[in-house]
Amino acid sequence: MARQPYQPPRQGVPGMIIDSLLMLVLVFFALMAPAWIAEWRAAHEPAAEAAATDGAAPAVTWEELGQNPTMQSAWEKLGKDPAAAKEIIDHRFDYTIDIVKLLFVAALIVFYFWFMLSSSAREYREVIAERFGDKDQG
Amino acid sequence: MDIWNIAEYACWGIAGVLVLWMIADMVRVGAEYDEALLLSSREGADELLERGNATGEAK
Amino acid sequence: MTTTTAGAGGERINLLKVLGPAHIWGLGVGIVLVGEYMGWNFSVGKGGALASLIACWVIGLLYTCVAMIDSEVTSTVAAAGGQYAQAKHIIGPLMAFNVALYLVMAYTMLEAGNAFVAGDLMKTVAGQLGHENLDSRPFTLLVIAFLAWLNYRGVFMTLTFNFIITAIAFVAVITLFIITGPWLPGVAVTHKEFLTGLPYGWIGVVAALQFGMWYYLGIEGTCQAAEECRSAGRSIPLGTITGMVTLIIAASLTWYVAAGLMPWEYLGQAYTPLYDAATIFGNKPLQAFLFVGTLFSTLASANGCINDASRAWFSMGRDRYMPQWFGAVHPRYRTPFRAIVFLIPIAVVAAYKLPLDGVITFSILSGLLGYTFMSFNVWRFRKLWPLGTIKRGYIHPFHPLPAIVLFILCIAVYFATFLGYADYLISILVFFIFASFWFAWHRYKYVRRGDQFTMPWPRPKGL
Repeated sequence: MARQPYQPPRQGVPGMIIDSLLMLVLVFFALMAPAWIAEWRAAHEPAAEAAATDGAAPAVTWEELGQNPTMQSAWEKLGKDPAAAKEIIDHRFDYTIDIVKLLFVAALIVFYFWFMLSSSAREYREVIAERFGDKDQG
Repeated sequence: MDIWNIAEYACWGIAGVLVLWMIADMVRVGAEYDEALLLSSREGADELLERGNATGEAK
Repeated sequence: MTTTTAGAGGERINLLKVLGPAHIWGLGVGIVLVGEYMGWNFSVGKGGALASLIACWVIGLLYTCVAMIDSEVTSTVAAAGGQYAQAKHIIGPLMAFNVALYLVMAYTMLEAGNAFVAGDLMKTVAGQLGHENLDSRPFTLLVIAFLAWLNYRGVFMTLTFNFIITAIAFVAVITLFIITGPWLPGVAVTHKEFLTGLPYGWIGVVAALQFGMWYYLGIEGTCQAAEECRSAGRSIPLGTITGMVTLIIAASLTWYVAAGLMPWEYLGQAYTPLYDAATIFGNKPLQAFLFVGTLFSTLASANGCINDASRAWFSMGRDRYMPQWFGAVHPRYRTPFRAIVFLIPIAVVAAYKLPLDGVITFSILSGLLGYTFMSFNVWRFRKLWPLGTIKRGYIHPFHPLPAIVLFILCIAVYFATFLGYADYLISILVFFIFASFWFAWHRYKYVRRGDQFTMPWPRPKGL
């Protein structure tokens, strides 16, 4: 083995504790950030909220909700009357695509994998060289 | 105070005992054994790798 | 130079090798089966009942690729940490660090979600029996503490317990199917009355892929136990692939029963769809059995998650990717005891403080990033060590087709996640990018370079 193996520094106890805690803090922020963003959005778009709560008043029938007799009996066994069912049925997802956001996310994914794979490849060559010796000798 | 309240307290209690037991055992093991021994496990000791282990060292 | 890590007398303590294929099956299926009791049905809400069935099979294909690829690589890299050790030997250190984080995050978050649901289930039952406002927190805490304690005391007992409760939960799903089946008089399931086409069109099918992950999420955790199997080369492929077959059956049956009993709008937002199915059917013993099944499935899942997350954390400690202190094995129980204890507070905080859908999405995305890694990992594995150069316990067929299919499906699921949870996707990517910078520029200096490569393999081809 021609190559001198890399000798890592020793890590003291405070360093170990800081490193462990740092990871925890990162995780916490990553998890809470989307919830905070959602809260901020709700605070800045009060109009949509009000419109949603408005429409609950008038009585509805199963026929208006497009439910056949089998569906009706299932709803009833689950303890839902037409009004309660209407709330569930009217809840719809919005799949309009924001192109700018989509491109941003795609770029983020590509950057992430690019950074990770290029750094890994560099570190991996070092590992192989230390483990098996330099290539020309090897 | 019905059975559910008792169950709540019992859960707090049992969970507490289990956690304290683990921490106590962890501290005891740390004090009783040599740290180098605790950290001595080797990755991937398996029959697929017996050639490597038979010679003692990976290198 | 490796003697620096050996004990005073030169003896070593390793993890105990006691597991067989049944334990691996229980570990894989146990983590996932809770997904058949709850969670999968959100895919119905995303695109309708038929979209959910399509997602069930498309994602089933994704996971079949995962199971085949993983079985081959793990039957060769028999190490605790599973995919982490694979990444370290095949792609490189930074990738390995990220993979280990995916594992720890995916499993710890799933564990927190399970413990929360178990506590909430107790609250529901107490409510039905006339005790309102039960405090669910002590029950959640007890689930985490008890299962951590079980894991601390030894892997054999832990996974034997896991096998039993998983089997009971699986029997409950089968029983529900048999009792509500179309062959009995007074048929209960009537699909032609409930199936209403695709309410959102095909975009809804794509969106459904995200929660379609729930049908199988976590099956790849079987690899974490590789270092503790009596014969990893046999147990891992056998346990994983029978587990995958079990899940495809359970997923299809679950869909069949639920979609034939409930309107899709209800199903798409229900918290306990199988329990609701039994309620509609109006059979009290069946209802009770499904309650037990639901509870056991959450316990089995949390239990497997503790097992897997702690192995990944332990492996990082052993290689100094994380503080070395975590790389300790208990001298008596032979478990990664410090990693197990360290992860308890994280799970408790996540279960108490964080929003459930966020916790679940974090878990799904961590898993998804891991599957993306597997697709190019296996390709490079075959390139660096072609067949015949090292001993493989199992060789997966049709290479490179599974890798290509897996890669394409992963991209589809990223897009599906973008449709519903774009903010979470961005947040989690930023998290992993920061963690990568931290590792590359700070943490990696503590790692011994050559020692990371522990397999007795020849030099990789072309390097």
